[in-house]
Amino acid sequence: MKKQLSKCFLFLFMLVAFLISVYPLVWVIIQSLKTETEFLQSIWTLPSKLNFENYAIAWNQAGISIYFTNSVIVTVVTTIVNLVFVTCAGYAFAKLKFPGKSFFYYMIIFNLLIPTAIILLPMFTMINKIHLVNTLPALVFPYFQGFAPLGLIICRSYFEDLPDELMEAGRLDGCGNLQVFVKIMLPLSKPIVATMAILSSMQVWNEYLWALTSITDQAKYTLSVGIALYNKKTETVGYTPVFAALSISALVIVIIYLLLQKNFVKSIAAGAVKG
Amino acid sequence: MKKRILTLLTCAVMVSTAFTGCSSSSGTKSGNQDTDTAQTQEEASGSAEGEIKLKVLDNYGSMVEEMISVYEKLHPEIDIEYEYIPSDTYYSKFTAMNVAGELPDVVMTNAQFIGDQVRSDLLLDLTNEVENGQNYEQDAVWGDTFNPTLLSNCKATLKAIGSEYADKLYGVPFTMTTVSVIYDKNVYNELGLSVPTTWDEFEKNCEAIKAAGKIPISMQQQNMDWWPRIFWDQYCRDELDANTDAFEDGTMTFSSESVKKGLEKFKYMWDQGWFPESGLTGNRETMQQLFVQKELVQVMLQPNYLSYLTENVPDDVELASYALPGVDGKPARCLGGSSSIWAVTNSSEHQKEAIEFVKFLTSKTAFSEDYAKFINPGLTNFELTSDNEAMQGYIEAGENGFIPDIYVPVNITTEIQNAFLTDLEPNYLLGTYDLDYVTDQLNTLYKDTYLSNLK
Amino acid sequence: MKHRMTVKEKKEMMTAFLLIAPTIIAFIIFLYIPFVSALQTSLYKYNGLGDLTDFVGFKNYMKVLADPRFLRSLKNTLYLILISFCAVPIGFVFAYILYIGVPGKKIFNTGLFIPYLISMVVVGCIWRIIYDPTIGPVDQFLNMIGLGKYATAWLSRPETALGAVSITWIWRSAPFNMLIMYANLSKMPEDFLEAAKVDGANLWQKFFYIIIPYLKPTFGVLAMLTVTNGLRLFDLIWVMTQGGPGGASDVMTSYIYTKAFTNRDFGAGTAASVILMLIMVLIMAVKTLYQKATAGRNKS
Repeated sequence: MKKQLSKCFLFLFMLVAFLISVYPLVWVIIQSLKTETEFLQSIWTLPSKLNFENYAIAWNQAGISIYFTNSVIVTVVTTIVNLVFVTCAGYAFAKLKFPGKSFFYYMIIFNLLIPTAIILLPMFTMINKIHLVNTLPALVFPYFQGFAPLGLIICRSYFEDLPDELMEAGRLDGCGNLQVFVKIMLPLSKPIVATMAILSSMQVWNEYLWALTSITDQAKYTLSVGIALYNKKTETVGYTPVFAALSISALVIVIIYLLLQKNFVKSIAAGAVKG
Repeated sequence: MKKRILTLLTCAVMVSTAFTGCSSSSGTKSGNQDTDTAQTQEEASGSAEGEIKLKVLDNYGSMVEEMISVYEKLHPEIDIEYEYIPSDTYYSKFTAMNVAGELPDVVMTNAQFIGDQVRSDLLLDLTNEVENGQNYEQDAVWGDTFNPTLLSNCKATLKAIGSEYADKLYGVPFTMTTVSVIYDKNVYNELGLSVPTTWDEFEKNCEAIKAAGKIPISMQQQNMDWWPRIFWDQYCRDELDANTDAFEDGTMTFSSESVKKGLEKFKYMWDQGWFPESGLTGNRETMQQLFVQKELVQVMLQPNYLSYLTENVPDDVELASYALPGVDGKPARCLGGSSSIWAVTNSSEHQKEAIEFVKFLTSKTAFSEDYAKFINPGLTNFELTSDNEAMQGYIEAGENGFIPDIYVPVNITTEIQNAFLTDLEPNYLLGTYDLDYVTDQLNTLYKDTYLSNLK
Repeated sequence: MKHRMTVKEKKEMMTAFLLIAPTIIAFIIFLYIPFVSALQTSLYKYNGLGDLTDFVGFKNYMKVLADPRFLRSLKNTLYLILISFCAVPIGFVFAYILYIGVPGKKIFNTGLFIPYLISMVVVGCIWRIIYDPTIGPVDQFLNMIGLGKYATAWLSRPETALGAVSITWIWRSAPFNMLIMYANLSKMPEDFLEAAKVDGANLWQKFFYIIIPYLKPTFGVLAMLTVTNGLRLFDLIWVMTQGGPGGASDVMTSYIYTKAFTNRDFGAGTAASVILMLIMVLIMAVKTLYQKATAGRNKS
C-alpha cells in the first residue's frame, strides 16, 4: 500500500515536470495555428479552426525554407567532419604513445576556456584571408573547433576503456597501428560515434553567433540566424507567423529525436560520459 | 605494406569527401549562379550579361524591400541584392563585411554609426552631388528636395566627429520620423477625456487613466532617450538657442538645472506608474501588444508602425493621434528627424548607379506608392496629406520643427550614449543611482570621450 | 635517460601524428592564430575598421578592471553559474525516478528531454513571451489563481531579470544532465546492487552508499560542463534581455559583445575576454589541484 502511494506520488511529480518541460513548446504551437487577432484577444483559447496560413507565410516569405536547407547541409557536413577527426584523435590520445601527447591534448581542451565572442572578428579575418567567406568550410571548421574538446573527452575515455588486449591481439595478427584502429577499434566504437553524432548535430543546428557574424550572404543564413532575424520583425509582421517559424525549427529536431530515440538512449548509455 | 597504403588511402578519402562535400553543397544552397568563392568574387564586379548588381544593407525593414522591387521594375538592367540586419547586430555585420572587403554598394546607417564609418574613410562624399546634382525625377536640385532641418541635422552629426567634416554630407536622410501619441478615441470617451493641449492636461489625463486601472503611456527600451529629449527640448531651449556650443565651452554641463529638471520629470512620470513595467526591457512590439490588448491607452509611435495597429486592433477601437504638448509651454518640437541615413560606400564599383538608386529611395516617386501611406518622406516636393485620422497627429507634429539629433549631448559619442541608455537612465529610474551620480557620470564621459578628442 | 626509439615506437608515433594532424591543423588555423591576434588587439585602441595602429599597452585592461559594469557582469556570471548548478540535482532526481521505474516512464523520458532539443535562440524567443507581463502565460496564470500581486514584468525588473533567465537556463540544461545520469545508472553493473541486497541495505542506504558514490565521477564532469557552459552562455541572455534592465542581467559574454560590437571598442572587449579566460584558467587550476590533493589522500 505504501509502495503504491509512493509510486503514485512519483508519478504525479513526474507529470508536473513533464508538463513544465513540454508546455512552452505546445503553447507556441497552439498560438502559431491562430490568426493574429485571435491570438491578441486571448492566449489561452484554442484556435477556432486550424489555420496553417502562418506556416505558409513563415516558410515562403520569411525564407525559412532556404535557411532550413542550409542548416541541414551545414549540420550534416560538420557532423561528418567532427566524427572523423574526433574519433581519429580520440583513439590516438587514448591508445598510442607519442611525444607531446599531453601538450597536444591540452591544446585542444584549452578551447573550453576561450570565450567565443572574442575570437569572432579575428577568426573572421582568418576566414577571409584564406578566401573562405560564405563557403561551407567557413562554418564547418569553426564548429569543429567548438565541438572537439567535449567530443575528445568523451571519445578518449571510451577508447581507454577498451581493453589493450584487443590491440595486442590485432598486432599479433600482423596489423599495423592504423589497421588496428580501422579494423578493430572503429567497429567497436559505434555507440560512441552515435552519441557524438547527436551531440554534434544539436550543437551545429543551434549555433547562432558565429553564423550571424560570418555569413555575409543572406541566401546562406542558417535557420537560427534566420529565426532570430524574423523574430525582430514581430513589430511589423505580427507574432503568429513568428510562432510558426519557431515551431518549425523546434519540431524538426523533436521529430528526428522521436525517430532515433531508441538508438540515441542506447548509444548514450553505452558511451556515457564518465569521470 | 600494401595493406597499410590502402588504409591510408581510405583515411585520405574519408577526409577529402568531407571537403568535396563542402564545395558542392555551398553551390546548391546559395540558390543563385555562383558556385564557389573565386567565382563569387569575380561576379561582384557584375559581369553577368550587362546586368549591374547593387548590394544593399538595410536596417529599416519591409518598406525598403518594396521600394527595391519597384525600382527593379523601373530599371530592369539593375539587379539589387537586399540584406536586412536588425540594429542590435548591425555593427558586427558591418565590420565583418568590411574585413571581408565585401561592403555593399549602398548602406543604411544612422547618426550612431556614421561617425566611425566616415572617419575610417568607408563612405563616399556626397556633398557635391547633393548640392549640385539633379534629383531622381530630374526636375530640381537633389539637395533642395530634402526638408532643410533633416539635412542640417545630418551635417551636425558629422560636425561632431571633427571640424574637417563640417558642412559635408556622407549620407542623405531617409524619411522624416515624427513621433506622436496614438490613442483610442473610445477609451477617451469612456473616461471623459479630451485631447490635451497643454502639459497639465496631459498629466491630468494620465492620472485619470491610471486611476481607471490602465497604463497611461508607452516607453520602450530601444528608445529610452525619447522622454528626456522631449523634456530637454523645452527646459534647455533658451540656453542652447543662445549658445549652441554651451556644452563644449562649459557654460552648460549635465549638472545644469535645466538638464536635471528634464531627468527629474521623467523619473516623476515613472514613479507615478504611468509607464508599463516592461518598458525597461520591452520593445516597440511589446507596446503595440499592450495597446492592442487595451491595457495601454496611449502609445508613442513612429508612423511606419501604424499599419500593424490598424490591421490588428479589435473592431471597437478607434485610432486617433495627437502631438504631445510642450512641458514648459514652449511650442513643442517633434522627436525624430533623420534617424536613418542612406550612404554609398567608397569601395562600390558602381558608384554612379548606387547614387542614382539612393536618389530614387529619397524621391517622391518612391514614396507615392501605397506601402508608404503611413510615412512622412521629409521631402519638400511631397505634400503630406491623409484622410486617416490616426495620421493627423503626425502631420501636426512636424509643424513646429524638430528636436535636433544632438542637443543635450547624451548621444555625441557611443560611450556616452550606451552608458546613458543601458546603464545610467534605467538605473536612475529604478532608484539604483541618484541624480547627481548620473549627471557626474555623464560629465566625466563627456570630458573623456568627447572633449579630450576635440583638440 | 634518452633512449633510441625502436622501430615499433616510431611507427606508433607516426600513426598517432597522422591521426591527430587534421585536428591540430584545424585548431592552429581556426583557433590559435585568431586567438593570438585577439591578444594583440587587446593592446590597441581599435574600432574594428582598418588596421591596428593605436598602441595603448595595458590601458584597455586597466579600463576594464576599473569599470563597475565589468565587475557587475562578473558577479552576475558567477550568480548564474551558482544557480545553474541546480540543474545537476534536478537532472539527477529525474534520472533516478526514471531508473527506479514509474508508470509512463517512456513518455516521461521523451518529454523531459524536449527542452534540450530546442535551440537556444528559439528557447529565448519563447521564454521572452512566457515572461511577458500581459500576454505571457506566467503572469496570466498567477492572476487566474488569485496571486496577481506577484505577477510582474519578470525580465524588466532588476531583482528578477537574472533569476528569470537562470530558470530558463536550468530548464534548458537539466535534461542533458538527466540523460547522462540516466545512461550511467542504467549501465550500472548488476553485482553492485546484488551485493547491496545481500547486505540487506534499505533504500536510503542503497542510495547513499551505492548510487551516489557510483555517480560521483559523472557529477564531476557535469559540474565542469555547467561551469564552462555558464561562462560561455550568450545567446539566451542576448535574445531575452540583452543584459538589461540597466545591466542587471549583464554577464561576461554579453558585456564583451556590447563592448566590442555596440561600443565599438574592440581593444577593451578583447581585454575583458582575456580576463575572463584567466579566471577560467584559475578555476580549472584550482579544480585540478584539488583533485590531485584528494587523489593523493585516497592513496595514502
